Amino acid sequence: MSTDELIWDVKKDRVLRELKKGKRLDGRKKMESRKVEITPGFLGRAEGSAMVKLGNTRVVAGAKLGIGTPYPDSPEDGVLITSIELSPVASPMFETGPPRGKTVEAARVIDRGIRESNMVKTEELCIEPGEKIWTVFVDIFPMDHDGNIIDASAIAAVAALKNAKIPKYEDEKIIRDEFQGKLPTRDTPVAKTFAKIGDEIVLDPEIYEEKSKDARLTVYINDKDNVCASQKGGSGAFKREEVNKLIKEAVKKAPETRKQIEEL
Amino acid sequence: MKKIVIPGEKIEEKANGETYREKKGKKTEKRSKRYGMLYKNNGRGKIIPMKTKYIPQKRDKIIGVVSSVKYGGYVVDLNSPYDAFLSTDEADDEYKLKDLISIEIGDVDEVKDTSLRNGRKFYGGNMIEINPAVTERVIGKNASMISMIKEKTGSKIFVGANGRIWIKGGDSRKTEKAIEKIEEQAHETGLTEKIKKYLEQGSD
Amino acid sequence: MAKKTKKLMKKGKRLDGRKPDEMRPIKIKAGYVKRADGSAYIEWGGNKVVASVHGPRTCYPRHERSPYKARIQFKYKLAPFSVDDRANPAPSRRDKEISKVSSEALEKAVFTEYYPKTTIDIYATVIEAAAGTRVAALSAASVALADAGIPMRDLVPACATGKIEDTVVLDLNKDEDQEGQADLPVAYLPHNDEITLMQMDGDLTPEEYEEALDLAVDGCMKVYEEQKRALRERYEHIEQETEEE
Repeated sequence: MSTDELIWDVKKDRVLRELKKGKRLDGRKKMESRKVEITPGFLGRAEGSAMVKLGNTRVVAGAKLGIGTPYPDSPEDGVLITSIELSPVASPMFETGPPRGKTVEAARVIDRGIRESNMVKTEELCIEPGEKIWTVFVDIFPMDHDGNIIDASAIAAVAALKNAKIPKYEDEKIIRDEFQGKLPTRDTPVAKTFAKIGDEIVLDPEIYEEKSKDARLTVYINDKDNVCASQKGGSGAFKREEVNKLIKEAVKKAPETRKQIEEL
Repeated sequence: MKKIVIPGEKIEEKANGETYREKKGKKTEKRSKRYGMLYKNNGRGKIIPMKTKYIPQKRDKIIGVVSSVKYGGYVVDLNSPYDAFLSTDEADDEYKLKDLISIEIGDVDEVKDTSLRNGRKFYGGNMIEINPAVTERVIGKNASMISMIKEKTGSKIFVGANGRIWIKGGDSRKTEKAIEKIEEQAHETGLTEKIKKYLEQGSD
Repeated sequence: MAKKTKKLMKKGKRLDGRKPDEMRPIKIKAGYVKRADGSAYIEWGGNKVVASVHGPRTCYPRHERSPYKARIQFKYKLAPFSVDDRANPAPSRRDKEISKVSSEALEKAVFTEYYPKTTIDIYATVIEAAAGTRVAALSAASVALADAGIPMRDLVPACATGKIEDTVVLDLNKDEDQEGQADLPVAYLPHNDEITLMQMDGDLTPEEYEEALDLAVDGCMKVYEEQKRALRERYEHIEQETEEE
């Protein structure tokens, strides 16, 4: 065990001890989330953007549009690509370098909920069938990792897409400062992440809880109160009753976050 | 008197080692090396950095975490970019990985190779980590602050110079919160009063 | 450099209304990232940059470790959404060059001999770019280092000057940078009157170069004031004249 991991292990013992007494280090209840603050349109050179603070965790997401070619099996649909950079700016635990498993997983989990809820009307992003479509790049940049980057990123990505505009496209050129309307979207998928520490489960883990976790469950809820994506992470395990309970909890908690995003 | 100082800022007062000298033409200027608070009393000054990393210094009493058990001794994490070695004859017991111990820093050479002395194991309790620059405030002048906290919460407290604090028993949650408040408000005036009020009322 | 002949000046004023020696608005916030040892956030013209410092911490790989001093490693990056055409997330050659010269710009300022065998890592990411990103990143990084409690000789302000329509100007904006005749970013140690970063491209006579360099130093002094203000801001209300305790 490296020294860093060892020190986290010392802190983990503490987290677990307090949880057994029903207490979280920051005083929250087990299924209580931290406060969410959303600032839409934060970035001037992205077609859509949002900065999100989830407690002290801070994430910024930018949506950029470019001209691309469609996938061969969907010649009249635009393309959505979600990426995340787990940059050392946000945490001493992150390293520079090409994306590794953790980064790719995070990006794909966040993407999954957006894609499976059909939030972006990709059918309306066709310029020339089979030839030209709009590619929507959602790039997520966490700036302060105090736990649960996934939920904060999901909110930021969805909010960025919701305020995104399509740039004017004339004579085969994109005119960046002029727009031809909003990016067509529907619905607002919301992610809820739980961490299992020993036998205890908490919603919206902050950094010490996240580092102490044995397993993580992210559940994405769509506007119909159905699960549109889920991902289990970490080397521990969940019992079936736990999973079912957590899904119901996510359904209960999603509407409040959805409302916050939609009211922007 | 207290004044914010910025690295490179000229310091007129007599101050402790957080300054350096630079020749400017025929004169030498004394300047601050740190972002900190300059306290001046009776013509003598002291700069306390706003934040610092712990660098081992001889005779410091600190809290370490056993990070490796070796033949003949232990590698100890000091909450510092530097680890140190404690030989078994300086340990008061047989230690295991993750054990919390209080130790004294022995010799530190130019490349920061550090020897340790007088290991004593902590049993039970919790450890928290704060900014090492403010441990003096947690102790207070003539231990006034820490005595007050101990008295009002009934906790056993050990403050390591490396920013690690061991707390056991009493109203340990309150003790922790009080120490967190001291860390946030380290340079404010009337801090002792504020903390006293918090401990008595549970709010401030 | 100048492809189109776009008019950049009108009656002695620049298109954005500034005089030749006027800087764009600049604001720095010290201590922006809770989970970093030190950090700063800067908004300058249209630039938005966040800088985090981790360290001093143990230096890996071992062969980069010096027994005498800390290694300073500055990594500059443009976020994909910071520019008009979405940028590739991988560091470009430009990013790598800027990282190297910026690390060198900071070395002289830091008392690296205090922390042998360690590394002080500074990460600056531009989340919105509007010309002058490297000087914005460096100016923020300098505040982040002070915020981390790292002992330094001085803060390191940085600023760029250039030439547009045969006039030497301070702090180029996006159009001026693209259409102008020269670009000169500079980093400066105020108390020693020393230049620790300087790059130039374009076309300047030796006299124009001298003028541009002097103007860049003036600009650096303005940035320096903002750096100091940002560091003072959090604790100003605590300062006191009288002696106590």
